Amino acid sequence: MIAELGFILLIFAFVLSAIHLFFSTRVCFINFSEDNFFILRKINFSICLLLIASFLFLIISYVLSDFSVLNIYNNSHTNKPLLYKVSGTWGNHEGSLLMWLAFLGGYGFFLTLYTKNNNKKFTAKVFFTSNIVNIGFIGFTIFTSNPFLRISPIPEEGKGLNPVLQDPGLAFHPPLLYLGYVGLTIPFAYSIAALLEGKIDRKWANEIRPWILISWIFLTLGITLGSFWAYYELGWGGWWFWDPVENVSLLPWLLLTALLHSNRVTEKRDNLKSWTILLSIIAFSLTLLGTFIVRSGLLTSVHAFASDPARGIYILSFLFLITGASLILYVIKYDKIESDEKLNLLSKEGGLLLNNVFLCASTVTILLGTLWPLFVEVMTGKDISVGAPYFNLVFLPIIMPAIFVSGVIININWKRNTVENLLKKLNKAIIIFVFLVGVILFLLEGPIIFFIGIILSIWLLISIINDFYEKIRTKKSISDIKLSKAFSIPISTYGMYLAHFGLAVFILGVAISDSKKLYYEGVMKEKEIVKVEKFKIQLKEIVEKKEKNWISQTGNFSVEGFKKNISMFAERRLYLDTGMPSTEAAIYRNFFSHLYIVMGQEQPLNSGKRIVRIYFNPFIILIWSGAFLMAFGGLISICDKKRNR
Amino acid sequence: MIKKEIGSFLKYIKLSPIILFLILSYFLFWKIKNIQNTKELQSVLLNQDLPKLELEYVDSKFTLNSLLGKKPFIINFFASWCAPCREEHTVLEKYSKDLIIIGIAYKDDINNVKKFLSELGDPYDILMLDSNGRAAIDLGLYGVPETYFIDSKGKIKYRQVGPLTVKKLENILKSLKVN
Amino acid sequence: MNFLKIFLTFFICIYITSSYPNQNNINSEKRFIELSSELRCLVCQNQSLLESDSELANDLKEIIYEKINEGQSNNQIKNFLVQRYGEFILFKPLFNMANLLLWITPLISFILIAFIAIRKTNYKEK
Repeated sequence: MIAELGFILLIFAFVLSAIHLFFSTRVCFINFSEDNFFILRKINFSICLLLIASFLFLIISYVLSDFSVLNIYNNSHTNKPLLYKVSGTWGNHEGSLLMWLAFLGGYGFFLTLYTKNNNKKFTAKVFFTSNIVNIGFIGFTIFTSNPFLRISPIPEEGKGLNPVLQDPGLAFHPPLLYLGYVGLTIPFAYSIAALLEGKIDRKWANEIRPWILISWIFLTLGITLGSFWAYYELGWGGWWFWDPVENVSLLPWLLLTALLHSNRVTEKRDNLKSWTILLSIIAFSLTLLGTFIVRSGLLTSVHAFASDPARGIYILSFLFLITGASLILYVIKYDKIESDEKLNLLSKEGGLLLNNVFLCASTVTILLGTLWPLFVEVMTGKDISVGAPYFNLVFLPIIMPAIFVSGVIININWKRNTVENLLKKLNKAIIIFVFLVGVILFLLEGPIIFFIGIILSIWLLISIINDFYEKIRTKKSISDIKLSKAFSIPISTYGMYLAHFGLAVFILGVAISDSKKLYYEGVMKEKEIVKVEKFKIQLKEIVEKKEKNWISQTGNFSVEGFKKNISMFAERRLYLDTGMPSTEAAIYRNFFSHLYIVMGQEQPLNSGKRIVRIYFNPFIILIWSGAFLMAFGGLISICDKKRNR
Repeated sequence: MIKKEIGSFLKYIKLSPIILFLILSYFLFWKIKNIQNTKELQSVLLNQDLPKLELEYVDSKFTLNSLLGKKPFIINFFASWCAPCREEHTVLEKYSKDLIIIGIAYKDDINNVKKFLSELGDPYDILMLDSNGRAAIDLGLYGVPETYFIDSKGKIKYRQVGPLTVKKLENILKSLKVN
Repeated sequence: MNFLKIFLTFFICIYITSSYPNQNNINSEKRFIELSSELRCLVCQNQSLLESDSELANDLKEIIYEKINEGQSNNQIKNFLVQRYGEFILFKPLFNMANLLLWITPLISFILIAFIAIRKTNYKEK
C-alpha cells in the first residue's frame, strides 16, 4: 500500500512538472502575468513536497522490511539494524535516485521560499530551468529505475546483507555527496536564467552566493567522508585512489571552488561574468556526467552500481540535450553578458582569475585522465589503464603553484596594487616564511615533495595571519594592534580565513603522511614479533568467535613504541550466508597519527600463519580535519547576515 | 598584425566548450552503444605464436610439437578444485572426438586431477600439469577455466574466459572456420 | 613584467621538480612496493597488485619479486607483464605517440586557459 502511494506521488510530481513546463514557458517567453507566476510558485511547492514524501515512503517501506517491493527484497534484510535499514534505502541505484529527487524537492522548496520577494520575471526563468532538470530526473526514475516495483510471490527474506555496506560512514556519505551535487542545480538554473534574461549584475551574484556555498560545503563533506570511509574500511591504508568514481566527484568540486571565487569577483567588481556562468554550466554538466558514468557501467571501478546500458543511454541523452542547449545559449548570449572592462593582473580579481586558471586546468587534466581509456578504446580497440601514478604526476604540479598564489591573493587589494605596496604588505610574512623554511630544511629530511608540501602549507598559513594582522593594526607602528578592529572584519572574511586554514592543514597532512608513512607486510603466527622502525609488534593470540551470522578471527596485537604499550585488535570476519569476508582494521590514534593493522587470510592455509599488514600514517588525521575545517569555514561564511540581502 | 588575427580568432573561443562537448558526447554514445562487445576480455596474444610451454606431460597420445603448426587444436585450462570447470567438462567431452583438446591442470595436485578425470571423463588428447601456474601466466591467464584456440599455423586465434557452453563453442568454431 | 617572470620561473621550477622521475631505489623492498603499486590487479576492480590479496595478484607479485632479485630493471619487468597482459596492467600509461595527447594536455590546457584569462586583463607585453 505504502509503495503504491509512493509511486503515485512520483507520478503526480511528474505530471505537475509537465504542467509547470507549460506554465513557465508561457510566463517566461510569451506573456508574463503575476497571477501565473504565483501559480508557478504553488506548483513548485507541491512538486517538492510530493518528491520528499515519495522518498519518505520508500524509507518507511524499508524500515518495515516490505519484501513485496523488489528493490527492498534485493537490498535489505530483517536482521539489519535500523540505521542500516534506513541507509539501505539509498545504498542502491533506484533508491539513491529517489533520494536525488527528494533533495531536488528540498532545494526547490527553499528556493521558492527565499525568492518570494525577488524580481519575479527573473525568478520565473530560474524556476523554468530547474523544472526542466526535475522533469529529466523524475522521468528517468519513473521509466527506467522505479524503486516501487513489486515482486510476486512475496519472498520471506531479503537478499541484502552485504557487510561492507553496513557502516556509519557509508550511511552518510551518499546523502552528503548528493546534497552537494543536487545543490549545483540552483546556480545552474540561475545561470541559464541570466543568459535568457541577457544580463547579469552584482545583485545576481549576491543572490546566487549562498547556494554555491551550500553546495560546496556538502560536496566537501561528502568527499571527505567517502575518503575516510575508504581508509578505515577497505584496509589498504590509503585515502585517495584516483578511482574513476572518486575523480568524478572531485571534478565538480574543483569547478565549484572556481565558481565560488569567480562569483566573488562578479559580486564585488561586476566582472568575470562569462566565467561564472560557464563554470556553473560545466560544473552542473559534470555532475550529470558523473551520474552517467557511475550508473552505466562505462568504467571499471570499485563503486559501480549495477550497470545497465539502457539507463546509460537515457542519462547520456539528457546530459547531451541539457548541456548542449546551455552551451549554445552561452555562445549566443556571450556578448550581451560579458563586460568589456579589463582587469588588473596585479589585483585581487586578477589573482582570483589566475586561481581559476589553475583549477580549470586541473579539472581538464583529471577529466581527460579519467576518460582516456575510453577514448583509446573507441579509437584503437585497445584496453589501457590510467591510474594513480599518472594523476599524481600531472595534477600535483598544477595545483601546487595555485596554493602559493592563493596566499598572495589573500593579501592583495581589489582594483589595483603596485608591486612595491604588495611587497611592503608582505615583507614581514616573507621574512618569517623564509626563516621557517630555513629551519625546516635544516632539521627535517625527506623527498622533495615532502618539503614542497610543508612549505606551501606554511606559506598559506602565514599569509592568512599576515592579512589578519594587517587588518587589525593601526598604521602607526609594527606592534600597535587594535583588537577592537577585529570586530569590524566581516564574518565572511573569517570564514574565508578558516577555509584556507583548513586547506593548509589538509596539505600538511598529505605531505607528511604520504612521505613519511611506514608500511610492512608479512606473515605472522601467534607469539611472533615484528619490528617496524620504532615499533615492536607482537601477535599475542588469535581468538576465534562464532556468532549467529558470522565466524571471526581476531588478532590481539601488543604494540610497543608509543609512550605506553597498547593492545590492538584486528578482525577478519566470514559471513556465513553470503560467504563474504570483511576485515575490520585495528586503528590506534596517537595525536594526529594512526597505527593501522590489518589481519588477512591464512597463508598458507591451515598453517596458523596469517598475512599481516601494518601501516604507520603520521599526521594523517590532518587530512580529513583540514577538509572538515574547510567546510566549516564555508559554513561560517554563509552565516554572514550582512552579505546576504 | 598577428595580434589582430589572433584577436579575431579568439572571438571563437566561446565556441570551444561546445565543440569539446560534442566530441566528448560522440565517444560516450559510441561506447554505450558498443558496451556489450567491449566487455569481453581480449587476449593480447591474439594472432601471435603460441608461447613455449614448459610443462610436464601427464598423459598424452602425442606431443605438443607434433601438433604445433600442423593441425588446429584447443588448450583448456582447468582444475579439480574449480566448480565451473565441472560443467564445462561435459561440453568438452561432447566435442572430444571432433577436436584435439589439450588439457592443462592449473595449480592442481596430480592425484586430484586423475580423480576428477575418472569421475567426469577424459576429453584430453594431451594432459599437462602446471603446478605453480607460471605457464598460465605466460599465456596471460586470469583464472580457470579458460580456453585457447590455436590454428593450424600455430597462432592463437581466440581466448575464451570462463566456462564454454555448447552454444559458445559452436559460435567460436563457426567464426574461426570462416577465417 | 618582473612579477610575472618571477612567478613563471617559480612555477616551472615546481613543475619540473615535482615531476622529477623517482631515482632507482637500491632497496629492493621499496622497488617491489613501488612497482606493484603501479600495476593493476587484473581480477579486481581498480586495485593495484600491492593492494590485492587475490591469487593471480600474489602470483604476479612473486614473479616481480623474483625478477627484482635477479637484477632486472623496472622496465624489463613491466615489458614482461605487458607482453602477456597488455598495457591494461600498467596504471601509468606509456609515453608513446598513442598517448601523446594524454601527457601533453595538462600543460597545454594550462597554457591555453591562461592565455584566455590573460586576455581579460590589461597585461601588456613590452
